[in-house]
Amino acid sequence: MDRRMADARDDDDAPLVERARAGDREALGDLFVRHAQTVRRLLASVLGASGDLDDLVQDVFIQVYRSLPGFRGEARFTTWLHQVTLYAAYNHMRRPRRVVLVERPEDAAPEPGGDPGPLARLHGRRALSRLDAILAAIKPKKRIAFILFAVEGYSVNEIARMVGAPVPTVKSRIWFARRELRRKAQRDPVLAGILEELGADGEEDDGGQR
Amino acid sequence: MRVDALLAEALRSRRAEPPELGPSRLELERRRLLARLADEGRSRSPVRRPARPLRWAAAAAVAAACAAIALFYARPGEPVVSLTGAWRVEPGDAIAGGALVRVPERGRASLLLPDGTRIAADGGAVLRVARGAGTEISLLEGRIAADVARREERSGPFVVSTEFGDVAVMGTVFAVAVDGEGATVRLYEGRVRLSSAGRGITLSPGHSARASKRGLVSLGGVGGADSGSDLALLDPDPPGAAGAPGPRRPGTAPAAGPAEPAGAGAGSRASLPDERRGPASDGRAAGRGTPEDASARLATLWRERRYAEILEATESPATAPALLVFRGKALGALGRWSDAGAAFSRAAAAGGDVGREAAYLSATALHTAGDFTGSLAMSRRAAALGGPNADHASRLVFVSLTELGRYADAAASAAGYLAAYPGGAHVAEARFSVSTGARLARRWAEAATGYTEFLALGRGSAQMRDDAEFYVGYCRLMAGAAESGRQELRRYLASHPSGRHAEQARAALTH
Repeated sequence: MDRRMADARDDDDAPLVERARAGDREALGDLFVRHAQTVRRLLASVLGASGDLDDLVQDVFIQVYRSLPGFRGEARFTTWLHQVTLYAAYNHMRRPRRVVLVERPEDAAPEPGGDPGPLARLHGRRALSRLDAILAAIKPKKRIAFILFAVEGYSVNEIARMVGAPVPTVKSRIWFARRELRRKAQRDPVLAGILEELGADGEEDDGGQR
Repeated sequence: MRVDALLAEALRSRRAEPPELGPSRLELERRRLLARLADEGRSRSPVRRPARPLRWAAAAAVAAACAAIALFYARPGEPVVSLTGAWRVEPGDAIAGGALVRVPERGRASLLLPDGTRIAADGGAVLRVARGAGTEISLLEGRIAADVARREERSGPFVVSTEFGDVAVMGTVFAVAVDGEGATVRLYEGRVRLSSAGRGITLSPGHSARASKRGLVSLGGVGGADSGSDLALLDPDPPGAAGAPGPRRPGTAPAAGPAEPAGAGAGSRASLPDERRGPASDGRAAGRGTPEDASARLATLWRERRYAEILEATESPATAPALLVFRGKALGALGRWSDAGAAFSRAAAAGGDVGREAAYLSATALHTAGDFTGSLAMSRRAAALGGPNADHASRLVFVSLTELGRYADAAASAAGYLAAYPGGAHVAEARFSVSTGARLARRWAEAATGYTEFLALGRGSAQMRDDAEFYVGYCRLMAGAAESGRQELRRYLASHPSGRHAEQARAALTH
């Protein structure tokens, strides 16, 4: 699936980008208003539940401001912004952190209104938190490639441009991420049961052929 | 179906989260960004704590990977703190009482204790929640604001302890800030006693006091502490910063006067009077004739935009409430919205028409300053007092709750607004808030209906309408009405090809 870039939006960005490149902070503020939500969604998609989101969005635009002199306009601004965003996500994943978590409740609260079924449970908070934990254990480059491909719907070629890696490398990362995700999910006490109810199978995939 | 495809579908199902930034938050974040950029270009004073420079690849030395707004959950009998934002902690997860909570410099966290007390911790704050049945908070560093649930006398007070003294409260809204020299307490409403080394001061609403190694000092008005500003969870522009944008107007606030860009006003420097319990109420303003004379003089100064003189004339803690309203208006005109909120808050203690108006003005000023905890408290008060601004104050309650990330509470409050003011000025916004609450609770059909009703009203901001037009389709899809959901999404894309949700809409239609 190809991603559609917002041509009209990119045209509107050009004057703001030029002003921001010249040091106009207000222009960067305007770019922030236009693109913060998209950056935020992309970070949330790649990083999962992260309360550093607001700070990370800020970090992205700080980096944009610093790097604008080097942006020659050969790519669309939104493409370049996505690259900066992914770089920020990548560095965030690699940052060591201390977690305050001491213990978790053993039993999740029951869903209101009874069991909504395995698919709804898979989309529920408890399953998604397990999924986030599994994803967090996958190496950042593989995780980013998988999220961009399988969740955000970018093509392999687009991902290769965004992360600055060859297409075969991206395909390999996606393949390995999928395999790791599949194996860990099938061993997870919460996810395994749901997947079994759904009759999901673990056959090997096509390695990101798209 | 393949396992990884199912899991990817599950991850896509929450692409509508995190809840998007509302226009107020977006503006605050924009201002925060500009302030950070400005900080980077400024040389640092050796006295100030240096701002942490952005290091693109550095390991951040923060303990608790804390959050934007946090949600929480308490187990009976034990005060526990749960935070969103730690990478594997979700809303509803718990951590044991006694944990040390450290908020990153650029973060903030909100905590809920078993008795319903809510604490908002500023970036850089370090605190510990007591283990066991006690509800004591130890504030080691930084600033918190608290909305303390009303307590039975026999339960004893809620205590915030610091190195320099303890704050004991019985149900109130207040702020405590600890720096290297002392602890400052500012009180918005309720009753607070600050004690240190065997001595104590009981504060009245709108007043502040400080405990240090030199002892206890009453600082007079809430806006008169060392930094001249109230606690704000997000305060991107220091008072008087040049170039700060004009104030937002969360609702109609005709008495607030014209907006002025912030000038290079001096920071507030409160006098440090002898210990006093509260304001005198003799109505005199710095000895300038009768109260009516003083009021007339201030009205003239206001018309002539002589704001500095208004501030000078109303600096005394003995200033009458009616005159404090001018002070609040002058501070607001200078862009010092935190201080304006404090001044109005003091005026609100007067009661009567003046107090009613001042309570509402305080709520709007604090909201503009980004102090949503304060604006929530004052707007609740203003709504309860009734009067011509009660409608607007009630609206500000659910708006403040939204800004604080308390979406379920916001939706409930908005539903209350709709019941109380069926023909009110903010029906559309309330309808939108109720629908958003349903959506976030995954009550898809209800949300779709709500957004449809909102759109039928034909009101609301362009951003709200953009959101609603998208979410009608999205929620119908999620509710299982695939055909009508897809139809709505196509309609959305036809109207908003570059809209806020265009990418999501296309992705949903593709799948």
